[in-house]
Formats: sequence, C-alpha cells, structure tokens
Amino acid sequence: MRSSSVAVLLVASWAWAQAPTESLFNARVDPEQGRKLWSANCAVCHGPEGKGGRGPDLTSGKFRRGGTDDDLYRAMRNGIPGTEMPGFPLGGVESMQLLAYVRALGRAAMPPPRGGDAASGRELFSGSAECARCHRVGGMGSRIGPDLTDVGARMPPPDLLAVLLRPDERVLPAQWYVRAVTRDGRTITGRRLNEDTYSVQLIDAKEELVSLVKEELREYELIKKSPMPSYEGKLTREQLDDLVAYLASLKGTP
Amino acid sequence: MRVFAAVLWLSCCMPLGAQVSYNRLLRADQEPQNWLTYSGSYKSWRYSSLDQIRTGNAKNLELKWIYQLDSTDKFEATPLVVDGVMYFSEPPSDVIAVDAKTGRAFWTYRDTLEGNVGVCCGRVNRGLAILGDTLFLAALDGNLVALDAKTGKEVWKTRVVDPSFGYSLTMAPLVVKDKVIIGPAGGEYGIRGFLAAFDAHTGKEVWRFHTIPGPGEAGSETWAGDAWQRGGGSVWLTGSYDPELNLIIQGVGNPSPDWNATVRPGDNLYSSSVIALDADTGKLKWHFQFVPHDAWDWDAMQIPVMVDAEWQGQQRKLLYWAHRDGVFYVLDRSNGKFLLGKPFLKVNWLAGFDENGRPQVQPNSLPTAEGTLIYPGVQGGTNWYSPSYSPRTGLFYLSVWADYYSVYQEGAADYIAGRRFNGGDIRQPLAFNRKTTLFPDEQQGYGALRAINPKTGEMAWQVKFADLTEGGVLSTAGDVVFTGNREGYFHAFDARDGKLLWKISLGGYIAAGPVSYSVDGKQYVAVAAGHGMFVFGLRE
Repeated sequence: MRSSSVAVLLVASWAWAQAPTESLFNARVDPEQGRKLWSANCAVCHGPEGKGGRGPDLTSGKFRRGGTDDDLYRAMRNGIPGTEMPGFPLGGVESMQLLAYVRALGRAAMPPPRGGDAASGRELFSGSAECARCHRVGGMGSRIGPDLTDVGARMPPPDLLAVLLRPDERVLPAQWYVRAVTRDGRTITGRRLNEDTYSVQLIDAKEELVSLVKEELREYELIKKSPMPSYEGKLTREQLDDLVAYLASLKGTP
Repeated sequence: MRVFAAVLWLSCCMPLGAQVSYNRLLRADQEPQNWLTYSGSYKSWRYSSLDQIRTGNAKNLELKWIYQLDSTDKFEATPLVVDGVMYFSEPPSDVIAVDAKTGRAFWTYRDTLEGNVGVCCGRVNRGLAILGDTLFLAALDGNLVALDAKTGKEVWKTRVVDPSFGYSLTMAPLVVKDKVIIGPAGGEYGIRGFLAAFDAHTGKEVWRFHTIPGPGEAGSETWAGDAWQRGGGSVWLTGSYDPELNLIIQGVGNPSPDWNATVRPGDNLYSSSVIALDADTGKLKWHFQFVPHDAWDWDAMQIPVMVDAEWQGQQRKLLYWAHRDGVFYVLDRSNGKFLLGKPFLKVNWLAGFDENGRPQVQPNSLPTAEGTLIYPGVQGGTNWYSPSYSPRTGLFYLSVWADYYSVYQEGAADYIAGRRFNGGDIRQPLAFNRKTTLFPDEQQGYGALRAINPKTGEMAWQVKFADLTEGGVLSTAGDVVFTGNREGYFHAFDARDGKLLWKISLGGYIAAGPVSYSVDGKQYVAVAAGHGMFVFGLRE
C-alpha cells in the first residue's frame, strides 16, 4: 500500500543508520553462509583460506581497489575491469554475507584486542594519541569529529580496534567531510551536518557553524574517507589495547 | 416546454452563489479561478490555465499567507477553492474553510474519530470533494461525512468500513453526477478492497464494486482457495472520470499479503490494476493489470491522467500512467488496450511485454526468505504523488525515486484481523524518512522532478534533488511547474526545460500537490507543507 509500510522501513533505515557494525542491508551476519559462498565462488582463485593463488591474498585487510564496503561490494558485483576478476551476480543479502566474510578474512590478520588498561588509554586519548583534538567525550574535547561519549556502547572492542587501524573501511554519511572553495579562493573544510539541493551546513576546524550556498562556490567536494589517520605503526600493540579498553569503557552518560 | 428547458438550463449550469453543480465540475477547467476537484478537473491534469504568474515574473513570487495546523500528522491534502473560499482537510480528519485571499478562517470542523484506527502510513487525509453546498470528507475512522460548506455542520454521516479490521479512509472523494465515490485503504492489513458510490444527498450506498472478486464473480479464477477474503486491493487515491464514456477510471492497490505471494497463487485480479467502471452502475467495463501476481507492493495508486491525442496517426482517448513499478504506460481508455510500456528508471524485474501489455517478469524476481534485490524499491519509481500534464508543452511531469532498490524478503503470512499482514520484510540502504544526519547516497538512488514526453516515454528533462521527493506537481499556462520536496523547498521551474525560476525554503516536509486559483483577478499558488497551508502570489 501506500508509502508502503513506513513503519517497517523506518525500522530498517533506523537500524542501518544506528548499527554501523552491521552490513549495508542490515542483514544479520551469518559466517557459515559467508563461508559457503566463499567456497563456491571465490576460493578457486583466492584460495580456500583467502591467502591467494591466481587472485591476490585477501587476508591482509588491504585492498588495492579500495577497501570500503562500497568498493568491495562493487568489485564483487561488477568484477574488476582489466583483470581476471569477474562479477558475481549474487542476491543482495548473499553479497553482504560474502562481504562480511571477506572482511573477517582481513581481520584474521589483525590480532584481537587484549584486555588493556583503560586508565592508560585515557591518558593516550587526551595526550600523545591526540584523539581529543577532534573527538569529544563527556563534554570535553573537540566537536570536529564524532562524539565518542557512548562509543563503547555502540561498538565492540574488535571493531574499535579495526577503526583505529583502518579508519577508511566504513565511514558513515553522518561523518563525511566537505571541502569547499569560495569564489574568492577561500578553502573551507568541515564535517557535514546537513545538506540539501542548494546548500550545505557544516562545523569547521575552528568549531564554527558554517552554512554555504552551493551556487556561490567554485569547488565543492564531499570527502567520504575518514580524516583520521591510521594508528597502525604509530602506537604500540600495548598502547592500542589500552586505547581500545578506554573507548570500550565509554558507555554514555546515564 | 421551452420555458422549462430554460429553467433547467439555468438551474443546472449557472454558478448560483457557491453552488457547485455537476455541470460546473464537468467544466472545471473553464473556471480557472477555482480548484473544484482533487486533481483540478475530471481529466486529472493538475494544470491551471491561469497565466498571470509566468516564467518571466515567477522570481517575484512572495508569501501571502500561512494557515498553521493544530495537527502534527503528515499534511498530504490538496485544497479546494470555490469562489474565494478555500476548503481543506487537516489530518487526521478535520476540515477548515478560510478566505482564499487572507487565510483567515470562516469555520472549522473537528471530527471525533471513532475507535482505534490502524494505519500503515500515517494518519493522513488527502482532501475533499464538493457538490452543491456540500463538502465530502472520507474520514480516517471509516465514516463518509457530508458537511454544509457554509457552516461546517454535519449534513449526514455514513459508516463505510470498520477500522478494527484494518480498513481506513484517506482519499479525497470523487463526485460524479449525484454520487460520491470512495474506497478504503488497508492493503497492509488483509482487507478486501472496493470502490463504492454513495448518494450525495442521503449518504446511502448506491453501488459497490469489489476490487477483489469473490467466488462466482469474473476474475475470481485468478485467486485460489479463500485468499480473496483478505486479498487487499485497497483504494486510497482519487480516480478520474470520462463523461463521454461515462467511465470512472480508478487505480487499485496491492494484493495482500504484500511480499508473500506464494499464499495467493494466480494473477490476483484486480490488484495492482486500473479498472474502468460504469459511473451509474459500478459495473466493470475493462481492466488492465500492470503487475499480475504483484509481490513487491507496487499498487496502482497513481492519478489516471486522461488526454485526447493522436497516437500513431490515429486520434485516441489516451490514459497516461507512470506506475510504481517503474514503467510509463499509455493505454486507450475507451477499452484498456495497451499502447506503450516504457521503463522511466532502472528496473531489473521486467523482461518485456506481450502484445496485450502483460509484463514478462525476469526469473528469480520474486521475494525469497533470503531476500531478492529488485529495482525499483518498495516505494516504487513514483507513487501517489500527483503528476501534471501541460497541454502547452505536451509534457508529463512527476516526482520520481530513481535507480534505487529494495531487498524483498518473503516471510510468514498469518492473518490476524486488524493486524499487519505484510508477509515479509523490506531492507534497503536508502533512508525512507528524512533525517538531518542521514542522506541518500547518489549511488543508491536519487529523487527528482522529471518531465516525460508521453508520446515516447522518453525523459525530456529532470531536476535532481539532494533528497527524495514526495511532492505533487502543478503546471500552468504561464509555463511554470510548481513542486515541493521533502527537503522543504517549494519551487517554480520552467515547464519547457526545467530551469529553476524561484524557490523558497518552507522548513517542513512537502508531501502534497500544489494548486492555483485567483481572487479579484490575482493569481495564487497554494501548497500544504510541514504543518501549514502556504499561499504565494506576485509581489505588488
């Protein structure tokens, strides 16, 4: 019927928006189905464990053609032109199960977070790791990046570690950045707060609220990658574990 | 005898005060100062022949007045304008009469809803109909209400459907001759739909056509077992009327349950179809089913746009229909014959048509427990948002949701009276409802105002929006196309090429069709937006 099941869709969209650790389709990740799809479609070239063969090793978690969900989904569905990689016309949910499986292969190379020291993590957060330069916790820190006051309630430790090591893997639309150049040559960057056909609202590096009219801009670009650097090689394993322990302890203000 | 004929002529055809006779409704396009029916005329063009506001001066439009609602329900109504008075419904089922020039109220009618009404998609009402001095409201709780247009007092009230079984009324009625034509919403609740005519003077039911035939009725062979009893086929959008053919042309909603089609084998007539009924008897003259055995909730709740034009060298009575399934159709409305079916955006379910216009469905398109990815998604390529046809440009204008998909999942279909009966679930990455922090990604689809050449089905131009759009469209003799979108912008575009002429941010979701009218020789444009009725005119 009409807007056909608004309620159902609302739930679906909400869940998608709120649950970044789930797939694009908000389907429950089923490792067994992912493994079956892998064996049937991918193992012949990428190896039964994904360590490579005729096709490249996929266990490093690094992908030459881009490692975002969108990139991986497109490569799987459409193939990669100029290579032997064909497209696989799988169903939507199948594709997502397979994508989750490929993701898990990449994570396999990543050691799981061990119980770190949250107090040391907290020091790192506001100290040498410079997290507070962009992020805010409980009213302290910058508003430029996403607020992390309740990040421990939203993401489990392995996902927190994954984001620290590979921040570009999954950047939600609410965290996309804008780079705009005005007609008089001024460059403005900031996190997008709202956008419509004719204008965009953002918070810039000085934490100012800025509203821009698109037709008055010389350049306008939406940056879908994370401005956060990867902490791989920048923090020791112990420091990463401490930072993850601290983030995991952030459950929001009661 | 001649005197009698003259009196008859006078009484039937002269605009006597605010009396809106049937003859005035027949010739609604000859009094462009008024907006007498939901779609502006029986042809349903949503076109105004007023031309004071033109492409050259639309930039001088300004706000004239706002009427703010008490309600916070979604405002989907089209207003009527009759000789300087504007009538509109406030959701869920109230009615307001205001001065069309100033927006100041004459009266308000507050409906007391009876019982608990379950609705899938908001406590909405899309508008009113008028005949003589009487307004007609199809109220959410299943009552058809007649109101005195001068006072807002109830004239009669007829119980049409029972909301405890999932039925509700949301459409603007269609008045034909002395009858008020409506049908029920509830396609998500396993209702059995119908279109029925009520005597405008008494409220008594005159005829009823079941959109889902019962045993022994024509079309029942397209159902198995007792699935017809809860087969859907809702009616929640106003149809059109062809006086020469004496046919009511009406779209019919999806079969129930929506996404589990295995429990209802067969074509499931007359769901997801257009039906043509004799206006006097309600008898079926022809039908065309856009989507036999619909498993995607692609109901035919679109406005039937009727145009007389040449088709491949022959003058024909045409029906233009941009359907939720993503296809633009042209039919002959005298017999339902299929003339054209052309996808207007990405579809992956359709392999082609046979000569009768029956779609050949691609293999593996039906919903499964695991999920099937289908373009267009569940909201369709377009939906109930009123399109517009301009005889000046010959173009057909509509709001589209282009190139997006849903994953359709079949699930259990256990019927419990009055409860949701969807038979599955839908997943899609595209946000259905507007959130300031959630944007459609253009790779996942986009919303746009689209102009289609109805002779070919090809796109003439389009204006893409950053968000999806549920706005109805109005075109005018000033070659201006008006539409709003869910970003809350209301726009004027050049009807010939889509160039933006003027826009204003109204700050609230626009999900209604605009209208145009004039008072004291000045043209106005009105649109429901957010929780207010907004009216614009030229700066003086």
